[in-house]
Amino acid sequence: MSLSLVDPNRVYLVGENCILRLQHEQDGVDEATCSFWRVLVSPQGPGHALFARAEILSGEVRIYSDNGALVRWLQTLELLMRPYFADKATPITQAQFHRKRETAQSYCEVVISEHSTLHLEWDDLGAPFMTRLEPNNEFVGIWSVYSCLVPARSARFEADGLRATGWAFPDSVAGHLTSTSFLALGETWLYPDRQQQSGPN
Amino acid sequence: MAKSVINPNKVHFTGQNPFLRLKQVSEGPDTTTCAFWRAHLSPVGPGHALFVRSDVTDGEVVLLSDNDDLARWLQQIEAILRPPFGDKNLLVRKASFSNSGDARNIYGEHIESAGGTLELTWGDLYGSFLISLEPGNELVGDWGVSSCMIPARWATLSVNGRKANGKVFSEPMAGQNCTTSALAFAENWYRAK
Repeated sequence: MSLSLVDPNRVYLVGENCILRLQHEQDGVDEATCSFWRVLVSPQGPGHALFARAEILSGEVRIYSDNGALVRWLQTLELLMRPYFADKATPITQAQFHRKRETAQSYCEVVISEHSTLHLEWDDLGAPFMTRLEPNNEFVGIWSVYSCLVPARSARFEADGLRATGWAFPDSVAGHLTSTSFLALGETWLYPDRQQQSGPN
Repeated sequence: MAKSVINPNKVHFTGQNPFLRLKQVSEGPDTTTCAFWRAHLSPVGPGHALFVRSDVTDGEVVLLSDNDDLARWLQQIEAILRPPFGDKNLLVRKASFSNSGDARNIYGEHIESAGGTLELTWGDLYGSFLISLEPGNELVGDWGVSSCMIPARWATLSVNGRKANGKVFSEPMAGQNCTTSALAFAENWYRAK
């Protein structure tokens, strides 16, 4: 009989971190990179954040959020995965966030700020699968991450009607087929208990 | 160097399943039992469902949802966890759902239906922990589940302003300090392929 397992590490973040990366060719450079966070639990409370870089945004990193303190905290995680999103001098544009689900095969996030409207769309969704990054891993170091990944065979990123060029391409996680663009739902980030006193608050 | 581990099972559900149970005395029966579901992914799409039985529903099981198919699909899990909620003869009443608050302190779910308004509130939240259960366990059989639990020291249910009797009691979960009412976020249900 299987037993239940309580993870010994401390929960720091619960939410979602959906990734949208478009390229012109397999294993090419990203023409557009978006890291979308919907956070239910964090040391800085709940909220949303979009870190984006694309030609349709003048090639600059843009950050949109409804919780500035959350953005600065998330940058400690972005530093490990996408360092170009971790510059604490990058200004934060206040925005509102809406999830749209029109079909079972499509998923959309809409980000509305005073001067622009952004659409992130993941389409032709594949079968969801669970991953766990154990502590001391090559991706996020000492953090442990549980996540439900849903690969998208196609994706699009638009800013004020302009569409970013490039496509989603097949990718792999630990030998499992996924995509450069995927949903990451039901995500939990944990940090070792023994380091609580110096943890990333 | 540690690795990324792929769970070999098939994911059927991703979402939330907070529960709210109130009792008059520690070892007594539930006077209120609520199972709230928010589905981001399921075989029958996204949506919400609330199963509730309480003194403020006059002991009747009430099932509210914005996705009938989801409510029926969830009943296979409720039949294991809380059998009275698994009765397929239950009427699914149409409702709309919204949430508010901050899981660091107070969190609420608000449900509107033709029958009125229900408010579920979890307060004095503390001590989150992540629990996972592999398929082939004594609690949910061939299902596996992982969930981030956030226990509440107090919780309330009100129906059209009428507040349910009873209170939250301590109830350990897998050796962790927990209570009879907790948020359950980032919850994933999976089974062997």
